[in-house]
Amino acid sequence: MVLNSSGFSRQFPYSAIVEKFNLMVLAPTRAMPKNPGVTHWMDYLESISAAVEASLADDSIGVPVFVRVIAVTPVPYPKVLPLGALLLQEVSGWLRSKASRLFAMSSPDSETLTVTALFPKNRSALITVGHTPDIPLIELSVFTTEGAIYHRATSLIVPFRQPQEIPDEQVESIQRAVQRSLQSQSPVPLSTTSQP
Amino acid sequence: MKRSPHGVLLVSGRQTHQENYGPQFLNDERCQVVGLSDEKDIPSRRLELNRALADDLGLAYIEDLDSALDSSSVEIVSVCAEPERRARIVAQCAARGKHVYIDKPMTPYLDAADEVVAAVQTSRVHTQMFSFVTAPWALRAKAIVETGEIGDLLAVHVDNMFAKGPGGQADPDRPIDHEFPPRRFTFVDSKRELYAIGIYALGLVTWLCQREVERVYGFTANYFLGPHQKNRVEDFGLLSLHLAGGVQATLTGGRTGWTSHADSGLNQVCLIGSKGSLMLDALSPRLEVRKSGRPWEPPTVNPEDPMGFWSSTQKAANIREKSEWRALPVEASPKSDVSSFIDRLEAGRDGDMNAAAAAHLTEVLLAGYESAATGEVVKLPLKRGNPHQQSGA
Repeated sequence: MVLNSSGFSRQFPYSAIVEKFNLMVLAPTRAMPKNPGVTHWMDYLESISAAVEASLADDSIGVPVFVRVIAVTPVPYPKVLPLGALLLQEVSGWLRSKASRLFAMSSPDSETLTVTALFPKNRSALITVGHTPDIPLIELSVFTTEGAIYHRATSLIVPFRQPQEIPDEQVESIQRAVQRSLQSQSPVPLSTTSQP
Repeated sequence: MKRSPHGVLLVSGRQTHQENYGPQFLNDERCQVVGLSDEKDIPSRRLELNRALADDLGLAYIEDLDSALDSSSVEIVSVCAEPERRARIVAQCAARGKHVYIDKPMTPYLDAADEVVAAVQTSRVHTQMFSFVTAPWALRAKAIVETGEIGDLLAVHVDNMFAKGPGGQADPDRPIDHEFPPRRFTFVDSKRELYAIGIYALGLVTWLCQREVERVYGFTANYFLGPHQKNRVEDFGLLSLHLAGGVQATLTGGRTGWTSHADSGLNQVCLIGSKGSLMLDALSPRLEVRKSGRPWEPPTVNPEDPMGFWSSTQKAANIREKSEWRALPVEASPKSDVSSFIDRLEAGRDGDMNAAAAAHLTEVLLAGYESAATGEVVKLPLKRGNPHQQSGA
């Protein structure tokens, strides 16, 4: 992770409610990782990532091929963009390669961002980051050749922390590519846009 | 005075979705199914399957569709012929003044889609293509959008994956070698799944947004199923869509293997609005059941239907139903898509997913295939007369 969490942008009034998260793994042989039991949104993302990695380590699930992430948070524009880049970097880790091409779209008010990312060996991902004044959610599906991993938290009762950016070359190159795709309304190769 | 029932003619039989729609027409007291028919020069295997379903349903088989349409007792035709010949039959029925219930997708070919729309407009008949837009959970999503609870709709994201077929057979690393322009869409052991399954998600997107698609970016792959890869058709596809008014949408459609889901597969809609967001799942609310006994196992491959396309072959192969999830109804008396079509017909209206709406979906899917082949964004409308967009049917 290259964004850490410092300072609450918003404290949900219902944050005291006991959290219940569910990472569901489906494969010929089942494996249920331990509930990470964390309390903050960005930390929670890290826990999701670790749990996905642990699930993918089970050979019976096959090879990860496609990832869908939908994260709707109180993050304000322009933070939607770095959060999208961060999520794409995480997904790249699960798919064992860096995205080679991406296509980005945003709504007219720039409150939502969707990135279609293509990777070497035909892997692909869809990353959506949206703004909500309401309860955040994270939906995640990792499809593998012989199974799938699903994360369902349609009402994510986790205090949201405003992510603080820490310079990272890879995330920054993704952000530049996203901006270029948004401007051109076209898919862009990631390699040629990663140069400063 | 009680209205006389609508005469219904079924076109095509077993190993089509007529296995599902035929009984629904038979069970609707407003309808009277008069027989099952098809084109005169169909292959002997199709004829055999047609006769088998006619026998199953206790119906007469009429060998020549053209003469079957002569009957004034036929008011509605339910068309489930293979996609490659479906549209010409729909156009033929419309031109003869019959209302048409159409299996999805209506057609893979742009010229054929245009011909259907023209025939329907000329004849002023009513049409409806099967889709998820009459499902209770989809109607709930629509109601939420229309009440403005989530504000202006900014984005819609829909996933529709069927957890069927023996996964782990494709080589996902192999370079993609899909035929473009696509001509053949269906095989005994595979289908173009962006077309066959992605159309559900696409139908929900356009229906929920009530806007046409303007730009399409698409991608297709072979991730799970060997026969799809062998036949050069995708088992997975995604589309990123820019709709009129700046609404954005993404969708996925695929056949992801028996072991990829606890139930029938991922089937969800995410609505992002200016005032809030919402996830809806076709399998929620639900009970989740845990029990002792033999766990569910994927069926052995049935050469007649390796991917689990059809109800009859799944029944014949004694495929066990997954029973860990029990979806609960969100409506007291949910209606089938067929029943909704009859409701609309009696009100003198088309279904929401009428021939024109279905034709737009064909155009978007073709743009998606073009984008997947070229790697570029494709703008709509597609150019008519371009050989890459014509059927060659």
